[in-house]
Amino acid sequence: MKFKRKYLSFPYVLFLICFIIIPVFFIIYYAFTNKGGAFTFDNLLKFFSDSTNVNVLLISFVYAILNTVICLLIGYPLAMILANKNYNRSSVMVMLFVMPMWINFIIRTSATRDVLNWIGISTGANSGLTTMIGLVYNYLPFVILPLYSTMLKMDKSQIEASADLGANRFVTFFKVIIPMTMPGIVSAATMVFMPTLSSYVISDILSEYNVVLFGSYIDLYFNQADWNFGSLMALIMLLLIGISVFISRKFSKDETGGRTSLW
Amino acid sequence: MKKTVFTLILMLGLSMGLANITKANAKSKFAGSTLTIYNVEDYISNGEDGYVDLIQEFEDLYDVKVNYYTYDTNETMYNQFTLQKEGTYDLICTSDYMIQKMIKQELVIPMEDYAEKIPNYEKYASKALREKLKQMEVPYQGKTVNLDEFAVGYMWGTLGIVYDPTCSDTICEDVKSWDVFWDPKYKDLISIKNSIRDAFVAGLMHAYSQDETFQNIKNAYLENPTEANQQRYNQLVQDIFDFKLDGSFESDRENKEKIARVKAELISMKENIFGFEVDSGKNDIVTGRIKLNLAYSGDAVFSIDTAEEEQGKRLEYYVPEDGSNIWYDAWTIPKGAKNIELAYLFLDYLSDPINAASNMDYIGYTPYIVGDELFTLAGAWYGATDYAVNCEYLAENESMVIYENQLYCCIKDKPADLMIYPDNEEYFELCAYDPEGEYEEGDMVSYDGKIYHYVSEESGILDAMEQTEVWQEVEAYDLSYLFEGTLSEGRSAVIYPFLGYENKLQTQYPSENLIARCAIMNDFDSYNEQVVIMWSQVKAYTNMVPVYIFLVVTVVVVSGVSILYVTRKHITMKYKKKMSQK
Repeated sequence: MKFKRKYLSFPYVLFLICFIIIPVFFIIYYAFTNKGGAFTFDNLLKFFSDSTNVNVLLISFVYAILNTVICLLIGYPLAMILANKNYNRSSVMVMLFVMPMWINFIIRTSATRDVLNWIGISTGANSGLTTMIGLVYNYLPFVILPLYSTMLKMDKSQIEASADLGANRFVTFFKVIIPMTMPGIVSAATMVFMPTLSSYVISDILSEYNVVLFGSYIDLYFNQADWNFGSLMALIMLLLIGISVFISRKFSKDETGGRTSLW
Repeated sequence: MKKTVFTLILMLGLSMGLANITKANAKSKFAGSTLTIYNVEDYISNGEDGYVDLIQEFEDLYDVKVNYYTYDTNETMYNQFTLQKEGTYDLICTSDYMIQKMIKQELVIPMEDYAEKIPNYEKYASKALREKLKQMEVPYQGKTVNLDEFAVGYMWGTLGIVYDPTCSDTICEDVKSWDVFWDPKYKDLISIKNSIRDAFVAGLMHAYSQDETFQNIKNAYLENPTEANQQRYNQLVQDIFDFKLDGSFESDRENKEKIARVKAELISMKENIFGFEVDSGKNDIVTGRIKLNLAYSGDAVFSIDTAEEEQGKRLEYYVPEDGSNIWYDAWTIPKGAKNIELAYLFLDYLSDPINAASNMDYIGYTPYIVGDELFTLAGAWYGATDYAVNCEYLAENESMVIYENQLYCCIKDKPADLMIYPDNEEYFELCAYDPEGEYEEGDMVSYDGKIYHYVSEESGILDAMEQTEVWQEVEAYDLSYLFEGTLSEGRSAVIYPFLGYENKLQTQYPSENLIARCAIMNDFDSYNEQVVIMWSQVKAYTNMVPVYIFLVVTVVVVSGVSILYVTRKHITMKYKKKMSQK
């Protein structure tokens, strides 16, 4: 038998089936069955009949949006500085910003909790603030990296052309640099927004379990052996993430005409 | 007097272990078989820091292999256990309510005759505690059974409050009531276990202890603590804890009202506390980040010891007077277990007072098993006890013993097999009051058949008239309700605590009065789902107004910007088209 190149893909296909497709089917199965295993829409009704469930989802959205915006606001100028050869001649600086990612994030978050309390920001009394700080701290590298790599690839001649044609730096930034880095912004935003929506360890540790994001809400039901309702909520989150990926892909395609985004 | 402790059983266990190994080589009935155990994390003496490794010892003793698995919460255990195929585990250790649930679902099998299969348990398990298990009833295969028929008790304790006695002037009064968690004085200084059932206890007791009938029955008991009044009070707390499961409309309404009341209580409590905790509470109270912590008595022992060792800080534990939860962890044999006989053997091994003492030494929780060895260990930790000739005493612990109404202190290690009495001057020193002697704070002496503490820094004499100034008579702490029938003959179950150790002793071994105010919290049964929903609502409760405003503003801004963007693009396109047409 001749070796075909497509055999090389078998491990990936196997991985895809075992760890992505089958689990998704499990989630769907549990979401639409009751404890006895009979088909039912009860879980769906249960979700929308209690405003708490929807509220938790909305709270998660707020944290995800805020986190994305803050990360972009901090990360964008930073990525520009890092990508600028005048300020940063080696990639050591970039490495420094990415280095926190080398440490396991649970350890890092527990350390953040101690540091915050030590400097007087009580994780119990200002749980919203401390959660936000933790989220931004954890997701900032995910913003810097894609922005940094798109900025490196940026066509410098277009910026010069813009200056030649009489645009001031402000106009150049908004009309030339931002559109050129749009794919980076979109992939950075998706890389922050989606995981924040489902994150829960950070909020659990840094808010003393006072801030409940959708991820920890699902966890609460799984821990209480209510797999069906937990699965339904996981499915809802999966759909929401799917929608946000879809939108972001549309968005990055429109701008560049091709798939340059990471997602 | 400062006590360095915690090593007593170490040597005890080692010497016994060696003796056992030689003894057991003959009976290799189980040689080569495997026992699979599922237990809570860190819930057995495991050989760390020089403690006895009970599992290893059991393996060596009977030439068997033990597969030891652990879990973090009862719910995780239930999830994992029900997912595995039958016969995966031979023994599971879990909490009272979970055992109830598993019996109801016929997931576990009844124990056979204790006297025959687990003689140590029959002999050394505290009768009072087994009585409590017998009170927990549950339907099984169409008849009513009790937990004692299914479960071999392991550890037990109460739910209470660990607190820093220096955090306010009135704290010692405040912790007597569950109101303390709602008290704005302690805002952001309290942490609560992130566990439905424990928070539920606090919410329930706070809600119902305000009721007039509750106050009446409680006051009747406090004023006149007769058996009848005590029973009435205990029954009342039990009724508050229990859901009515007869299925009638009226009970259902009452149960729902109960859940609603707890929900309201917990939401208002959430505003006042620092937060919920899974495992951080016992350390946070040591470092002082929080001042009050809802804790199990066993964890309280850990916190109190750690605070004293690491920070030189004093913590105390108190079970609020209105009433609280008393809990039991016990071993059960799941249905389909492959090695039942070996499981019985392991339970018998754990029920040996020596091994139970090793466990208490390592874990800090209070075992179900009572007996001379445990009483001696409690004595080494907390105070003077009657002398038992068959127990080991270590000089390092400065163990205080009482023999023929005189107090003695151990000055040389006395092994368990050396049958001598404290009048042997090589091993023991008499601590009777000496008018010439110099004493410092915390010293204990016997005088005229009584035990006294030296409580002052100044010198003083022990005299009938003046004794209260510098000498304080030590109040006897009677544990006979627990140890009844298991101590060697003539040994009283009374401990005279060292100065400042009363609270620790009460944490480890609650008094009979305290237990009378505590009730078991039965499984929520069909109301479990509603309680989970209630809990998720409490956890997720927050002021939603800013969230709504934020989302509305975001939606408006985003849609405004996109409309602007699209229309501008449209206009530009039109303009470009026009230009190209020209």
